[in-house]
Amino acid sequence: MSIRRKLTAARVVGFVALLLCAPTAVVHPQSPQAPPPVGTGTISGVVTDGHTGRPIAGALVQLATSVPDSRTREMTDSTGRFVFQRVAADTFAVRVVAAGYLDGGYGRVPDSAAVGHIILQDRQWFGEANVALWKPASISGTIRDERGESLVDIPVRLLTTFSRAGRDQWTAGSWTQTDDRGAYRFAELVPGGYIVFVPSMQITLPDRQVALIRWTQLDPLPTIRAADGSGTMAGYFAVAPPSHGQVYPPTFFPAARSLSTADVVALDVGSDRRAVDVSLVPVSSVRVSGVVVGPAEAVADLPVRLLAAGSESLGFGFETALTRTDAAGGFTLANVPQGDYTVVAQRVPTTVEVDRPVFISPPVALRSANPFNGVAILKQGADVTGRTSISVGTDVLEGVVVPTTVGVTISGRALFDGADAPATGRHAGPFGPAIGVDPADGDTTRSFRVSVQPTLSPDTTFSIANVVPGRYWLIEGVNRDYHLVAASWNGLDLLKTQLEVTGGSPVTGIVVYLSSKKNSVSGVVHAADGKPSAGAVFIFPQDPDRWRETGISAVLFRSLDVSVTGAFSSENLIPGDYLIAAVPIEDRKRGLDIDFLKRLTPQATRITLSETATLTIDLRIIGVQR
Amino acid sequence: MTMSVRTLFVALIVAAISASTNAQQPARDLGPAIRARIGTGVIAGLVTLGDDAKTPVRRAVVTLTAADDSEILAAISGDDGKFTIERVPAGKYTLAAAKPSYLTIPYGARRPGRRGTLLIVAGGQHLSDLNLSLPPGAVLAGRVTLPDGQPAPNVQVVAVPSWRATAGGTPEAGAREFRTDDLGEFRLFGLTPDTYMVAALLSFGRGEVERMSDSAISDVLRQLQQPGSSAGATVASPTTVAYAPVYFPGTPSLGDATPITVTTGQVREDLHFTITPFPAATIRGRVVGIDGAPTAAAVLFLEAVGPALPDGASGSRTEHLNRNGEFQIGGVSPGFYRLRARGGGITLKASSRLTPAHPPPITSSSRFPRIVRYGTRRHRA
Repeated sequence: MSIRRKLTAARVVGFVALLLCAPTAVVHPQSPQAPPPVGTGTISGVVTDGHTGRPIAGALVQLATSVPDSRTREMTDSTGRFVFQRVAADTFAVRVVAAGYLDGGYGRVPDSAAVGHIILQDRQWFGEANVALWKPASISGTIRDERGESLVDIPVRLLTTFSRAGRDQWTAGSWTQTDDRGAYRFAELVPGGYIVFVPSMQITLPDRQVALIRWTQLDPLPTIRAADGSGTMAGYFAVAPPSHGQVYPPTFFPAARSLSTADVVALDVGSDRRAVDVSLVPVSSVRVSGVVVGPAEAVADLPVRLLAAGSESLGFGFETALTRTDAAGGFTLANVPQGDYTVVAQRVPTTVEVDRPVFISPPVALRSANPFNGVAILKQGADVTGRTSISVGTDVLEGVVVPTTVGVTISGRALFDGADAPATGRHAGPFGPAIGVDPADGDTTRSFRVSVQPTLSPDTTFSIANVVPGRYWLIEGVNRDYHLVAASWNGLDLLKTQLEVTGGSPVTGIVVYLSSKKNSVSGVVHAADGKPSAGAVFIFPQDPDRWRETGISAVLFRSLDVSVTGAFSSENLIPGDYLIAAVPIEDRKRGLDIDFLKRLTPQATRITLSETATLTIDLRIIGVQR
Repeated sequence: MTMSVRTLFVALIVAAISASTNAQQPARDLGPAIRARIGTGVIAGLVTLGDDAKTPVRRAVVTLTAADDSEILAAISGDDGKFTIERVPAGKYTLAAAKPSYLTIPYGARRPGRRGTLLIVAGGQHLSDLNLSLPPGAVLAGRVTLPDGQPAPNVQVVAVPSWRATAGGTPEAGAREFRTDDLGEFRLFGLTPDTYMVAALLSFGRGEVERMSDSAISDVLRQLQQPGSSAGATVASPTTVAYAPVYFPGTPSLGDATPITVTTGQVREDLHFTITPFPAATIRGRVVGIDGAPTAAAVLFLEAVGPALPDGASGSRTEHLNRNGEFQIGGVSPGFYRLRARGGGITLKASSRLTPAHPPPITSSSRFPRIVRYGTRRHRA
């Protein structure tokens, strides 16, 4: 056991290190070991407010190159100007941070990730490295109880939209806590629609095995003990009146019990929405009990979660009530406020099984409230999924039956550039090539699982355990050296056909083809006047049948933000026939919008990508009527 | 693709966190399910502000914690401040009430942070009329601005009790992090009555920044615009500045800071301070072994001496030596530092004054005084 723990810890360190290394935009102070190369070029520009056009003084400007950056940052003068002198020839991005503005950079347009690059020659002066910065928007308000008393230090969460499986869905965003006046404030927001949510969970535990996870610490939680020995967690969320029978339900601004009835707060650039206040109102609650039905070992110690009808897609962190089954699958939720719910019985929503001999599935079965604090129930086992709908009224609800389906194992083998084993020197590091399954309908409450082979073993088989029945796309995990180019099973092309997983028998004999070769598409986007232009480039399959049910990853789709320099490039696409089109920046989020793609098709360019194709293509922005 | 990578990263982070929780917590592993013990004891009492009027505090979470941590039973105080904890198994317990922004004083203790009296509960025993004090914490609030009057957002603000301000060390674990919002406003609440040093730690701009005057930029641009001028011809030398932790009312020097004393429940909302970039120092030097020969086989630690500031805010860092045992640490913000070289299993502590022409050698025998660097000239190699 101790060896396993050590190995796990080592893996985690490797993981975290890799995650931290992933973004290259790290700002380092100058190190004496790596002085910037001294050259003969100059880059200058002005930093301005994108809205008012006024110069911004005191902004920090940094030149970034493809190599880890060692250049000193410069501060703009009182008229927003900056000059970098003695710059060696290279390709640069210019990044700017300034107090009170969203981070920006040369070539960037608001609400887009695209960065413009400057190719500087020796003795060249590039004097147009001008950068516009935009003010972020904010939402603020106060959370009070039914008597108008401020609710202090309770979590408040923001919901944002996320394009998933071809449509925009609401998803958990950042969170904060109220101050001693009950006030909260979300700042540095990009324009868009937001929903404000005040979580409140009734957590009932059949025994003492509950703890709050704070970073890596497990703090046992105080519980209010009932006559049967079960406890109800006290604190963290708004504390309800002590008399049994009244609780605060999770509440969306202004007073909604469900996502479907919540108000959307629309924010423009720089808008400051105040008084987005929420008053929590206690609701009568009753005891709900029942049983989860399934294989004995799978239904024991299984998390049971209650999500308000209409809020199911939000999943973890949005529950009204939580508990865990006993050894026989029985469960009791002590304080369930009146309302309609979906009961979900499921062990883990998203599992990443890395290096299976070392990492057994994570032991944390329940997470709630925010990404880092949650309720841990330390138990693991086979995966089952069950759900049922209930309506809770004024009377105690007993005998709720939650039927379940058992997860199955999906397995197969990988071919590396046609060979049975990866080439020497590749396939190294904490991530070996990985294969995953992605729910085709984008239902995140189902498994989104990735299997990774033991990195130290030449074994090229893979296996993904506990996949909940449903339709899936096969996807690749994160890997530098190899990427997925084809997959077959029983004569089916699994990159064109969804994998139908039914309960009962395992899926075996999948063959995946991994390639170390790269293909790429690049070019420049032009406006109608022929000049390079900012915008977005969409790459999508020619076959319209494949625009539906794209899964969460939408692996056959690319949406590239293009900066004012017009340059775009994309690589490692799955070989096949695609359409490529440039669209105005306003349409950048519509890369999975089926109607939009349909209207784009007549003017889009047809391309065919082989495993090794290198295409260069110049595109003209296509205007599509909304 | 971007989306799939992002989704996967999120999933991996979740996995990494859950796994690390497992890996690092063998001691707190809660083990297999333990059935709760149902007792017959009853603990009841009253939660008040601890004032003479015995003002009740409603909806406080009252916790009864077993001396061996095996039980944490809870109750909520009513509108009248009264609470009752039932079904208490026989044993030894401590009792306390908590409510955000209020100060927990365990039963039997006189002040927050002190140990309380151990309550011994026998089977079926009823302990009533236990009075718990829950005084309101103090509040320190204000606004942080930049020199041009703009609000300074996302600045971490910490209040360090003045008696700890010179002791160094790390901040208390689990302390809540307070940051300014986009208006530059901050609000530290739930503070114990004490005398504090308030520090503002800018999150962006840590490390060195070059700054050129308006006229220097104008000169450079004018020359570049002249026909026949080449970009490499003119070079203006920028000055180097850095953002250091700033203590109320706006000084990087702890000695110049104004301590702020707050009493129970006192609210001070007038703490306005400006964060200014200060000229940064560069420390250059050389490490020599006991034999007097330069050595590169050491790592240098620059350690800020001063109040317990969160990691990364103090300016402490690690530097490597070049082949000749030389080092150059740029962008050092004003403050007290200790310089330490470690290599080959021994720690050498030393330094003296900074003289760029003759860097002082660090040896095992030299004593290391605290050095003050404030606005030191930057010495380029």
